[in-house]
Amino acid sequence: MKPKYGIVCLLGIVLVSLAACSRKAAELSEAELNEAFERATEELVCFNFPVSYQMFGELLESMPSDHPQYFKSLYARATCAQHITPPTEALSVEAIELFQKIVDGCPDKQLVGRALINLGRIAELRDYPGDEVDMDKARVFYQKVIDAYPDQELADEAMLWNAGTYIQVVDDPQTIRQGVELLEQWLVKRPDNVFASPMLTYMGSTYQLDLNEPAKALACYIKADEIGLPAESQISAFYWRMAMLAEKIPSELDTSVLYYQKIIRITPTSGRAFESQLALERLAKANPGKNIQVPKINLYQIGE
Amino acid sequence: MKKLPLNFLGVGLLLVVFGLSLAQVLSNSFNAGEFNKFSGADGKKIIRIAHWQLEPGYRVAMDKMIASYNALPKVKEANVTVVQMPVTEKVYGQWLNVHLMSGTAPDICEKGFAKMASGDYIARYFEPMGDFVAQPNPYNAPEYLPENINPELAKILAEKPWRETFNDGMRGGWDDKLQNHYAVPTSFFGAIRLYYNITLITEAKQLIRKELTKPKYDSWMSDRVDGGFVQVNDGLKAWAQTDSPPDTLGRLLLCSSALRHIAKLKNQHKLVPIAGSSYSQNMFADAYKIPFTSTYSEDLDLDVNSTVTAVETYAGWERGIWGFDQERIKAYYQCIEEVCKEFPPGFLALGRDQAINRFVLGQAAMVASGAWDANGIIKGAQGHSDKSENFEVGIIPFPLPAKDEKWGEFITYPGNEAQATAGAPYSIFQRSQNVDWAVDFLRYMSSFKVNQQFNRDAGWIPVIMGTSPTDLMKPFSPNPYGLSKSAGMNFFPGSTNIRTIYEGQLWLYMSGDTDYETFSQRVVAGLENENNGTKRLWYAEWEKSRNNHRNNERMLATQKIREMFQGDQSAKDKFVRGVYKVVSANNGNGLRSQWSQIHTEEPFPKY
Repeated sequence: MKPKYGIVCLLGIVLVSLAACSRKAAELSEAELNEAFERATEELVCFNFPVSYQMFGELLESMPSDHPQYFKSLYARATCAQHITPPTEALSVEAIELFQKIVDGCPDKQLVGRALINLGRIAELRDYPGDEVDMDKARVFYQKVIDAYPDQELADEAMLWNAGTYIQVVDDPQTIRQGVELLEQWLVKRPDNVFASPMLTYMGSTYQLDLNEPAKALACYIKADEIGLPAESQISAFYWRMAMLAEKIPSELDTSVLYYQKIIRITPTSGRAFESQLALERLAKANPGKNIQVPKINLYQIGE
Repeated sequence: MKKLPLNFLGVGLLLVVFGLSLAQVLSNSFNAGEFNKFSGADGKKIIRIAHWQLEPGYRVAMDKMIASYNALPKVKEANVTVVQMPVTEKVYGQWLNVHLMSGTAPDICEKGFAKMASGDYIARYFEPMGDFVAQPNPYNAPEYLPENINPELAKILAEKPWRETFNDGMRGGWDDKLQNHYAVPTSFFGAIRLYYNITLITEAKQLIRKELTKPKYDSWMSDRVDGGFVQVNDGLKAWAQTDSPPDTLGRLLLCSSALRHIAKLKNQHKLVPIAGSSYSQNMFADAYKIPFTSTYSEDLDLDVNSTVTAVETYAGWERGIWGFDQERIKAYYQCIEEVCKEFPPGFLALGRDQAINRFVLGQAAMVASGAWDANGIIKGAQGHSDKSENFEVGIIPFPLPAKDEKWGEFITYPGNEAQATAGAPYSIFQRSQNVDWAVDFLRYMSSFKVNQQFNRDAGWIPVIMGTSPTDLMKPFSPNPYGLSKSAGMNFFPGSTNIRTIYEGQLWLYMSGDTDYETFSQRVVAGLENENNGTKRLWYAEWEKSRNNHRNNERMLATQKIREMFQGDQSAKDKFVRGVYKVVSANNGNGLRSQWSQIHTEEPFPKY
């Protein structure tokens, strides 16, 4: 066989394959669409963003825009474009366009709210080398969510992000305080919101580290602990902060004792249990009338 | 004679090799029961468990445990067989990377070394264990527990979630970034201790006893006494009369001097007090860091998170909280230098195996290492061909200077070991065809009776509540007495030239090639360097922190998709905690705030 016939055959096979693929994509049944959606989602939640991006892209080509999964697929593809590494300007622009498309046309208002938050995050963060951070733009997106969903979790989350854009400003106590005030006012309005503990803990560390107001910091931490501290793996570090802060405030002796005892009893493997014992012994010596107890450290339940 | 058709020889060889490879693949597939799927017969299932623990005893213990699992009626009935795949740690990382990417990884893999077993890749390749560890471990049901077990403990083991039956609460399998358990830890590695040759230390103490009776000491003794390393008092005399090992640093150094004197008298040129090596030199530096420098911790911890980072350590140097000219810092380095003098010459060129060999051959009185070397050391010490050379081994923590000894005034408390988490973590390959059986095997491996027996057989420390190691391993159990290790000074930044300079100069100093003045001057010059010093460290850490927090956004995205698209309710809580983690990091700007608080007139460095 002459080579040119071989090449012609090869090209023919490629064209037939491509046609078959496109036919297949166009003819996906409802069940196949749903299965493809689930597979692409599974890749996404396993951090396989490039593969998921590709899969959702293919899915969107064959999915009619009135399909119930259409905007979800759009959201997922936008999420992948936002998080693929290495990030590029083109991917970031694509993510913005897709999220905006959801905002403009999606009937599911929850998904619209999420897309707005994502747009805020893209504006707030440096996504690729040379990307400019735009706090004002981010605040606009967050505020839109707060205004549109005032009694919903979306607004609670947006408020936390929004306050963060003020608190993270360096060397500007007034702006930082503005962020803390936003959270304080929000907690008055929605004290039981799902982000209440993160808000209080964030306020606590801002009062402690940026605004140098230990009493307010301690009060925030105590409230957050009553709800349940958000950083499970750092609970002992917060207890240590709280015990030390309280020890420096004369009226908070009992709080100090309580948290040193909590470190020993609740987080004995934190590394601070022995130091808590030393602190309690010191406090007991200085306050003989208080009958301060020094618990034993039960590190592990080792058998005989 | 006809010429051999060489062209066909190559093709023939290729076919033979191909045939052999095909036979091997078919054989493996047959053994794994993959053909039974087509024949419709009940498939044999092979569960492979890969690890790099080639220490003496581990593979034998693993074989024993696997055999007991394979013999369980339900396992036999299901035609399941577990097999182990030990792979040397030298290639384990690359080996696992390749198999994870090609989809051919073993069902269960020890997690470590491989890049694909770290960061976000963990979620891509390994099974999240959150749902499994929230359930009780069926192998801790009453019928599997010993009859004489404490009823309260039995109730915890049988009824509490699997994760809560671990001594460390299964922290060793928790991934804080991914907010899930991705591995099941199976053993404690134990703390670092000093192994000592009881015969040699006894000999040294006999010499010390004899010397203490003299009106004038020999130079080896008088140098230690006159130098203030030890005080000759009733305490020292009483200790010298006993068989106790050195319990203070001064006494350890005194024993070292006595041993050097013995080596000289007996012409034993190879005998040294401590079998130091590049492997163990940092163990001494770490052991003495907390007792000498803990007083700085509170001032150094800028973000009060109970962990002192390298940038906080060097920020403390910039703030004048500590400096190489301070007596406390000088004392710390001089202490390490003094200990290193008892190592063999050129110890930095020696590795772990050489140090262990020297010790088991009786050419060193002490060696520092962890529990993982205990089996090898004890067997080596007792396994000489000439039985008269066998010796008993003792194990002690690193002794600190006593209050009346040199540097005693600088000593606070040792670092505690309470934060030790369980190790040897095993993860399940997400694409395994037998995830349920892999989980079942890990439950079996980490059940009360099995985990205790397995670790006793391997010479390691078990991880389940109420279990106990062999007597030999007890000295390695974590000690809660002392200060938090993570609050200690951190001289080793992960980035910038400071690490290279500090480490290089420290090695030169410890090996006796430079003096303290030179060491400190060179390190200070490195810290002050405009391009590669502390300013670069601030900038590099800020960049790193910003990128890390950007990466955390990916975790948030996946949790939200889990919640919205897959209806995973546990993802909601993880998302809320994740939002806190990201927002409270202030996009890495906390470091910039700290910089401006310290350098009020200077803008944040830019490179």
